[in-house]
Amino acid sequence: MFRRFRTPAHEFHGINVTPMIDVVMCLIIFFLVVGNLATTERAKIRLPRSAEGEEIKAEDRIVINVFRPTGAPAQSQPSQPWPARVTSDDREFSTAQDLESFVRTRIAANPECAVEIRADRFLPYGWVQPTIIAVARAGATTARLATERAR
Amino acid sequence: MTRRAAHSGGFTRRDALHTHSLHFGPNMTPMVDVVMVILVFFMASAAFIGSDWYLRAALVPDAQKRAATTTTTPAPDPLAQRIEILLDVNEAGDTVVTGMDFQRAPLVDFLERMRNLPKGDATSKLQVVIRPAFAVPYEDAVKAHEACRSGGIWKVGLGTRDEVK
Repeated sequence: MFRRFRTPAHEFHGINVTPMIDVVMCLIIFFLVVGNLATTERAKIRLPRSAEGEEIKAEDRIVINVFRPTGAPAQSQPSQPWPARVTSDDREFSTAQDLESFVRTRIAANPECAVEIRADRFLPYGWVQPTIIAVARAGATTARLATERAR
Repeated sequence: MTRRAAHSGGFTRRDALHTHSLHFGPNMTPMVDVVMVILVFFMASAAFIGSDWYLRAALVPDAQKRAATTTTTPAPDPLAQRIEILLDVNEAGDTVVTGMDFQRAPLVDFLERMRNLPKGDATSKLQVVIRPAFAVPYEDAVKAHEACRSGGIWKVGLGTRDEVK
């Protein structure tokens, strides 16, 4: 028996881009989320430059950001015990004791936890020193000083 | 078969309106273009985010002595020689170094000296503690640390001076 095959009148001949868009959208959402997390953890700080150093892979770490408070004069001396703005894990510390307690809790939970100090290169050392003392008081024996890789 | 039908491969030729009616749904091309650009942007940003570089610094015993908690530290190597380097700011606002055989020498001299240290066992056993004064830029403290590392000194500590009351 003779059977007729006909091409449908409304056949779509182009490439089906729908799966590609799905994948690309997933990738964009992934990068947005990762970028947002990274920004939260690492505040935008002008890090000191260094040719020496090492790139340490991600592990459990405490990232402490130390930067100049908004409106603080550029060359002023520390006039108070806690002059710099110090943040970690999206949390701002108003006293050295707060930071010390936070670091101690994290180290107690994981003694292998690394402490990473990210301080603005233009800060006077006196503004970074209270953070270093607080971290040492919390029981850390070493810290990683975050730098910008000099090329 | 007519001439026209033979030329079009056996199918009936459609007019422009008919052809247009085959493209049903939204036009995806501009969206795909924009989405691809955004994707490339975020991938490039992510590459920049992960470029941090670290210097390991010991938190010196003086700072730890003030600690309320007691921490166990390994016994010091008897052969290791510990050097204290003081960083200060002179009247001109430049960082000067005191320590080793430097007496308020410019920081660049210290950096040069440390970078050119003879590499060997004696150098690698050295322990350097850098103690910057309040007014010393943090970047200079890091430069001093970096110079020690490039000179082959692996045990570099960051110390403190008089604590702010």
